[in-house]
Amino acid sequence: MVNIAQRMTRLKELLRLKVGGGAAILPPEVTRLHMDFVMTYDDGHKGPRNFWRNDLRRLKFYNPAIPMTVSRTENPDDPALMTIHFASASAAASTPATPSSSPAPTERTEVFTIKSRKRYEILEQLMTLTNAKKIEPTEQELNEIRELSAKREQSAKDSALSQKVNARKKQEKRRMAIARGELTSAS
Amino acid sequence: MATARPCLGHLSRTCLQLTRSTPTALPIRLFSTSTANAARGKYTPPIVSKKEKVLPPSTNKYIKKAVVKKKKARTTYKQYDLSKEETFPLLDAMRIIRAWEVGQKPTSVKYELALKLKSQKNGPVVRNRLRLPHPVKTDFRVCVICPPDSAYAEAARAAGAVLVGEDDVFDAVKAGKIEFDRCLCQTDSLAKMNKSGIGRVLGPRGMMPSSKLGTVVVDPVKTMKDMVGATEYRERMGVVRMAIGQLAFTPEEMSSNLKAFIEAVKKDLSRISDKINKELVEVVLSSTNGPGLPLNGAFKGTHTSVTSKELSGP
Repeated sequence: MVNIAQRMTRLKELLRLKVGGGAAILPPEVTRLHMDFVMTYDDGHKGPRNFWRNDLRRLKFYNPAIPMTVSRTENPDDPALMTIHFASASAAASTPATPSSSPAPTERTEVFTIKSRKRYEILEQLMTLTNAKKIEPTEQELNEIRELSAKREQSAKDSALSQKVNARKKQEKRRMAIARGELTSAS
Repeated sequence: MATARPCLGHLSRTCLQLTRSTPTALPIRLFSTSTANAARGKYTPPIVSKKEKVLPPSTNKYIKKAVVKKKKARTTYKQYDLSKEETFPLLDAMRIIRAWEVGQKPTSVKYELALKLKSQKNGPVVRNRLRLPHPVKTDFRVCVICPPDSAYAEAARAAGAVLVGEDDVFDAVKAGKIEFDRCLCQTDSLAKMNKSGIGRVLGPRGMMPSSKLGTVVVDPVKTMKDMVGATEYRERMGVVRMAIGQLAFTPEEMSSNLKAFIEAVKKDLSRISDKINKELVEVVLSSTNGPGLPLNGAFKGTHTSVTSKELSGP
């Protein structure tokens, strides 16, 4: 198994699942979120993909009971849409946390296009449409985030340094091999 | 003439004596070094013999250590200090994994479990088959090797085996057409199968029937029925890994699967000989794309804010 220190560092990075865009609690009327977009991200489908990879994970973390589905199609001409399913307020009140086995009947849906839009633009529209309650990070979490980013910067520096050293070592080895006649300078 | 002879001998001897008096120009090696040392001058270090040349033991303990220490190959897999490890109750772990895998197909994404063992690098490994309370995968294509006109063959075909027979199977396998996931052999065909040389093809894939694995049986149909929903696991590099559930499983289903698997592995560990001590050290829950979360054995922790009902949806 992988070294424990490495694994624990990875787990610390899971803080990103709690803090950031999309850390919000959706109101009980929202029964389901659905995204449609294209697999390839050349033609304005990069924003939706980024939203899925980052913000949707956080939304799911804070709203584990709400089904969130993504359907990615192959045809690049397909539209990119976000669909929000709402139940009526009274139905939602009777089943506060909607389990999937008995989902509250969908009364209306809101659809908006997310093609060629940035991640945060999609999130903003979703938040205004659903009246989601944003969760502010605590001071401790912010501190941890700062520590993590400092560590990442340091590790980037370290890796650049060791890359240099390793390259020099490799060069030296190669030069010695050429001098010994094991290698030709061309190869 | 008689007087001239000793005279000549004397002459030659005196000549030799003369040349010997200049040792630096001497082409032959001298046995004594004292004259040579004297010739090298006062301040040069003396020439010493090999015996005298032996170095005095180094006083620097670090250098001494480096010389003396010989790297020994490790016989056990490395164990880490798990005291500072962050562990999760099952509900929290499932919440994180489900959030990570959001938008993925619930049928294609699987929960995976890794059981780290304290184990030696050589020696027997844990290897067995288990039928989980809630099977992860149920559709296996089974091949049965038995005499094609026997009662077993008919029964196997009726039970849904993809390929039944002896020579047909051998030819197909040798041609590289392996259209099945599991292979069973009836005891009567064992000798014929061993002669056919399909072990070379099936062996590396781990599909070659052998009595050790319980795939050489008298009644293949009975084994086929047992095999539906059963999954194989084995220890590799001191870790037993297995798919333990689909993403859509509820926490209760997952919990019963986990318990069944861990108990089965513990039973296997106790069955291995007394001389070899193997222990279960760590349980890590992961998923197809998700992070690996060490479990602490609890279903619900003190800080858990989700209920199992919330985690039951797609």
